[in-house]
Amino acid sequence: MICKMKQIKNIKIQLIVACLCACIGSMWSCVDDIAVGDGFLEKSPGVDVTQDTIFNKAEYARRFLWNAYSKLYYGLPSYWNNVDGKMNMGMFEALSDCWHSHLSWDGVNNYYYSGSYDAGTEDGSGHVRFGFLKEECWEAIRQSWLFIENVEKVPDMDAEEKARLAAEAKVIIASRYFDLFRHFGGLPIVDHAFEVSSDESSYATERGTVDATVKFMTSLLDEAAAVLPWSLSAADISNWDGRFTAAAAKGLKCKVLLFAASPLFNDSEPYCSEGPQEAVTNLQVWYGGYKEELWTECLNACEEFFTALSSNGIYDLVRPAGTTMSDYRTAYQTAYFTRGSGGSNPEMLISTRIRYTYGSNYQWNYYFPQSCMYGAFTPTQEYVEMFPMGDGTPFDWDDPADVKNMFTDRDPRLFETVLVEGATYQGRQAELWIGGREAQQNPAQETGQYATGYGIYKHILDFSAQLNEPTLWPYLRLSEIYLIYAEALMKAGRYSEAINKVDEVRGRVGLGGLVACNPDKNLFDEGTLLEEILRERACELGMEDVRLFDLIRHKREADFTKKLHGLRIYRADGLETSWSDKDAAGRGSRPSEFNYVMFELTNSSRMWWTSFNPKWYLAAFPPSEINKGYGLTQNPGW
Amino acid sequence: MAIVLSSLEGWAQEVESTIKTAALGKIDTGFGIEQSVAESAAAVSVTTSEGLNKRSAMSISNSLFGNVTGLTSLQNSGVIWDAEPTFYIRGLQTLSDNSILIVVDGLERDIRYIVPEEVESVAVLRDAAAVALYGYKGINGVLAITTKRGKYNSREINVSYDHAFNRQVRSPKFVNAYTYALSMNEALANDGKTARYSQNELNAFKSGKYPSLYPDVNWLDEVFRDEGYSNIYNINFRGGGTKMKYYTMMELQGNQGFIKNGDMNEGYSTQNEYSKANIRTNLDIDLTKTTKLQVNLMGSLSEYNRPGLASDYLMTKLYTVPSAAFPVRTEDSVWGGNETWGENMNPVALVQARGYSRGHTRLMFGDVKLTQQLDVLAKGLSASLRIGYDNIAAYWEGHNKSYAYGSDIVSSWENGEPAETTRYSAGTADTELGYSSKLDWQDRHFNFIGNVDYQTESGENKLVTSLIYSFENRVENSQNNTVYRQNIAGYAHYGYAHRYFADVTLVASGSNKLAPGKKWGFSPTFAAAWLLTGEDFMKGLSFIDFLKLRASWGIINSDNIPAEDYWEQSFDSGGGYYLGGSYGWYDGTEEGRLPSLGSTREKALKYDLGLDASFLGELTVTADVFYERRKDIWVSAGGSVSDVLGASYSYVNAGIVDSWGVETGLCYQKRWKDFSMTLGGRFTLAKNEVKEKLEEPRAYDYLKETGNPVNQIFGLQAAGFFTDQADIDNSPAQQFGGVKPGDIKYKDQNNDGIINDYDKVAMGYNSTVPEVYYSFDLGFEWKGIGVNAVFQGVENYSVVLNTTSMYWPLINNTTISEHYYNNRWTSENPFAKYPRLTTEENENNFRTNSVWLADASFLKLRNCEIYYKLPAPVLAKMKLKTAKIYVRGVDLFSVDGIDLSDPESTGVAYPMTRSVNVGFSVGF
Repeated sequence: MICKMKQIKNIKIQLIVACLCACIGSMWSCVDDIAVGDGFLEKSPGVDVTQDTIFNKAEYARRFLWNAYSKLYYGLPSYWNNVDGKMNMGMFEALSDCWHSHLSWDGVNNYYYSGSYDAGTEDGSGHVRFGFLKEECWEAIRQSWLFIENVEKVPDMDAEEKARLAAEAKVIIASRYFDLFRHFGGLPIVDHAFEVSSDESSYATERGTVDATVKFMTSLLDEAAAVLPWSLSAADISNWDGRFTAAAAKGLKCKVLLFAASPLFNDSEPYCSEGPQEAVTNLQVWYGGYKEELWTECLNACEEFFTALSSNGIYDLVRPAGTTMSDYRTAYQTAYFTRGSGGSNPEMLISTRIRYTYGSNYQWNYYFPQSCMYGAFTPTQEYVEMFPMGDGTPFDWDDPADVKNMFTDRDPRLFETVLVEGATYQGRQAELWIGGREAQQNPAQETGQYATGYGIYKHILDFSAQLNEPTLWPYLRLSEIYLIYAEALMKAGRYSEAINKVDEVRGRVGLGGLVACNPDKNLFDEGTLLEEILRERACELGMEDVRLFDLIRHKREADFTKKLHGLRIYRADGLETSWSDKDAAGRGSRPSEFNYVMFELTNSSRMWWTSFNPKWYLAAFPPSEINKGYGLTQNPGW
Repeated sequence: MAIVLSSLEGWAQEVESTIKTAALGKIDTGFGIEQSVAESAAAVSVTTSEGLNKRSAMSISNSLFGNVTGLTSLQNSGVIWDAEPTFYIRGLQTLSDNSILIVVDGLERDIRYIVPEEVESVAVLRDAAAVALYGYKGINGVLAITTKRGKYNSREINVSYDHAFNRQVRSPKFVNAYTYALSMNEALANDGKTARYSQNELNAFKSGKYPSLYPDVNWLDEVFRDEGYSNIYNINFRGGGTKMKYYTMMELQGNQGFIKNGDMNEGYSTQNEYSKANIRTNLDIDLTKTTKLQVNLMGSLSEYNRPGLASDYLMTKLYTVPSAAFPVRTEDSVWGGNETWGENMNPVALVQARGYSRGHTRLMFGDVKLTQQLDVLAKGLSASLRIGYDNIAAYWEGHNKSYAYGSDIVSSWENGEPAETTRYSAGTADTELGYSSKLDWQDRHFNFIGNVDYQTESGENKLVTSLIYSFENRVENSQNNTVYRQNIAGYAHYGYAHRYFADVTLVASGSNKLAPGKKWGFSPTFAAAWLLTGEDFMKGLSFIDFLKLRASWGIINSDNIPAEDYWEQSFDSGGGYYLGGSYGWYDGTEEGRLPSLGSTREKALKYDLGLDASFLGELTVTADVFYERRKDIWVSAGGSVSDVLGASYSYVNAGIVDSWGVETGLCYQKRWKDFSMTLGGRFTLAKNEVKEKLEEPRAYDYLKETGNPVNQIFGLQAAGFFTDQADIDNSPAQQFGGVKPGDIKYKDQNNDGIINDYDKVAMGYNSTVPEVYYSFDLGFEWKGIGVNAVFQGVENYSVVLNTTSMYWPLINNTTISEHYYNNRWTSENPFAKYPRLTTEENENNFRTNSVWLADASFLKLRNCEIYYKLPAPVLAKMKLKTAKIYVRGVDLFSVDGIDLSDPESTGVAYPMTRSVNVGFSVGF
């Protein structure tokens, strides 16, 4: 009996416990269902985006393309990362003879002036002139191909827009290829977006020849130009300025073909005979001989461009409103500085952007102004002397009138490019004499913003007028196409037409024609005219990444080895003080008499001045990339 | 999973101080099955409660330095509620996550809230056989905490109190104002810039005549007081009747930190204060003869109070602001400050005029387990269910305000005396405290475990089997922190003739973190043990009490992942573009990392050989040698794929790391009448080598990380300092920026005439985990009076000294340590320890190189104690069971090669502390 009682009691307790457990179990299960097996192992729901999502809606697909746009080249240094930092606040234009960097820790000084650059630097540093892997070129290219290959799927986009956007993507690819091409030569031809694969070798793409690379770019540009509108409509400019047009594609083609036809690649000798020569043998860094037809192709592209221009109009050089210095300067500044391609700035063919504006010279994510203040871009005396006098005649130290008007009556583009003594600056006149308000002891010590006796004006203006203005990079302007055309015409022996084209560009800033201004020169001689064209390009396209490549594509070793100079300006009264900071009542008139002393730049001096080697024309590929063994060959000499 | 833990704990063959009972006795393995510890084949080390509570720590996590064989426990500094140590078992074993699993009573739980008093034992589970049942989580080893339980038919009450006098030690020492001004001028001169301080100003700093204009403030002295205090009160009840047993504990902790003048404000304190209250009840109820119910409940409420906001980064400011910067307050009592150092840079104002912040953490850990014997179905059969639910939520409240600051700046001098001053004023003063609050973080964790156990024995054969199903759901702060896992495990233990044992553990684990199709992984483990002392041939060797050899091998899988949704192509927003003539911004979407196709899981092949022995009833020894191959580690394929792909490469399972080493533990105990002695020692050597990581092709072999240990430090080898310009001109060009005399000159490793990243070489060890971790302890007791001490040390450990102001001074308006100033390069002192002073971000000097690399090995006296236990006759008179009073020292000294700071905390951090504790415990 007792035994039975106990059993019953036990059963009771067991029941209670079972109920208790069930209760506890249900307590949790009522909020989160307890699934068993794989169902239990799903991720909790989220908002993941997939490729299907992106190409399922026009809105998302466009965003995909805008991102590819955001990876376009922007030339000014602006922020601390490998892409935007350029050469650690420096620009490779300071490797040319027009500019010298006095920023001791930028990549220009660190690797190039010092000569310590070698292939390994490409692996270790983000501050080289243009890293093969560090500029987001390949990312932009892949993103564009993905767009081209998938845009067809987008349901809510009309066929016309699909074709147009795909064509824009092609220009993005071509432009990124060209950005690399001018530093490296022939490139691996990536003509599709790689399928994701677990076999890594399926991504391997060997380096193409110069010829294949050029054809790849030009055919993309041809395809795009056939689809794209010549220009944006006036209504579209306010929303869409910055997108590629047929004019942009055709213009870029001219620029590509000019580089390809130039002696760097198109000559009877390869540019460098040092080992490794594999890239030379494979025709990846030259055409294998001189091919006149390359110049013809360039000329044809220019003619095609100008034919289209004459029939479609819209684009033009920005013409001055009158004939004063200020009119010319305004026209020139508008041409490179403002938005509204084909509209308020008819000269702009391609502009790229990194931010809209900046409100302070110390903007944390746009440090270009500080870069200027650190002296990363100081104009050389050689550069200043390239600019003719206001009437177009060359500057001559031996002509006292020229010297007297050195900083007043010059090519208006000088004042738009270089800040010179006495120029209007922040509502007064810049003082670039030693001890002056701007220069202080900079030129005397050859340090800082005014180390050469000059300052940079282009892009940065007077450090105030540029604030809250769009920060464009003038990637391609019509004036450059004029000068490309001129060079191609010259190569075809059509000298007067060539001179004509140059004169059109000169005329925009009020300069006289080349022939009239240079009576002592035979401009119907190729060498002489080329010098004038290159000089004109340097003046017209200063700080637009043109001069360095002009020296490279023409293999102008002499320009890389010549010593460069600055100018020390001393007040004739011997004072080394500012004038403008003195009380207006007692300071008298502004000093107008100066003594000029040219001096050789030594801080830093460039290793190239003493031991230049043609291998420097092209950059090295990072050895780590070559060692992957997919068919990338190192450039000669590296 | 509780069952799993307790069973493992049962297998423990190495119980450090009482091996004889532990090894030879019968222990409840948690399934209601009694199993001899001697039969186990797994590598598990256990420390019981006596060894744990000698540091008066507020958390069990800070009690484990050198206490447990095989556990590497590295101390971290911080405010008391943040100073959690880092744990490793068997060193670095992988390129991915090396963190270990920590369980409390078998469930993964945060141990920082567990107090030492409630802990019965701490076990370190090291080999495959020990960790197998934990599925994906056990791959790096498991630290298992077991809390105390009641005792049948007994009753005891314990009360204890501990009071600590805490002191900050090895605080940084920065130079005084005059020296700072001199060093700044020297640095500027070195940089070719004009001096910042004129001779007049230098004189003013030197004389100290104008303390509000030219102050000399020792900010650390102004912010911190010498001593802090802690109190720990504990009462616990332990006992039970015939059908139930209980353990109930309440602990209250309080800590007062080191803020000087934390009571300057009316109505609130800005002291670093911490308090925590823990309540635990562990119950075992025999519902029937065959039914047992186990309930574990723990609640903890903790609260901290700190000056201002954590985001004021007080310590960073103390490591930044020089003594010469500005006065604490101006003559008219405005908080000191100026333009150079800006807002919220006055450390004293930060602790007195920024209000206070408060944090509350509330948690409940609860689990219930029901076990039913099913002998009615089959003899030896039983089943159990366990459900656990843990919930932690941390809330934050800010009661903050801002303050006005300023200083007087001398604008002109006359005859070497300041003549005129101007006032700099900035900041706005709030009179009222603001208020804001938020949920800081949270953690919910649900566990379910069910098992069926069966054991049978006939003649020489014994079989123990279990089938276990478990799942868990853990939700932390975001979608990607929601984890679901489940395990199905089969375990069989076979014993023959009480001498030969074999274990098999087969586990199938599933996890939602893994790719579809790869969620489930199978991990088999095999182990065997041979009890030699059971053999006839050992009978003659009477000095050997116990000798067992064991071996284990297993494959353990893991659900370490390289990124969320790694199997899918990801797309990220960002990278939009400015289009249009007006102010237009167009959003962008870009492709993310490529998906991983054909993936698998990171897994370990673990091998272990071990020995457990005891001699003469006095000496116990345990030793293991282990080898592990970790493979299929997730690595980026970047090293082998062409970059023209134009996308971030997929992660692939290609990494391989081998690790190996030795763990030993020794314990010697001897008693002579009134005198007893204990000596112990533990030693771990854990080495490893990266076999494969798809590293990018390197130009030189010495640059390869593959072939080196995980996290091997690479840096440039310094070859002194440049003496002059001629030296610079005649040396290889250094590509890290322009150099000047006094800058570090590097060795050209590849003789290419250029110093760049190609000249880096492996140097030192790693700065994550020391390869050697050892400890030894000693204890003597005579008639109730005793002393004991634990020493703990590490070897083969490196650190890169790159602390702002301490080693990398003056840049960005930071200050400079006395140590650096006294050891800097000058042209008069060309063979200095450190390079020249500079104010510029000198990339040549301030990068990883042999100048900054230091040996971080140390030997610390972790704790020592003098105590007196009242003798039995006195206790009887007072009707007490136990009574003990003690004086204890915690972290009293460290022997190491770091001149300035604790080798475990060389960065910008609160100084480490040293404590003297007094306390008592009484048992009724």
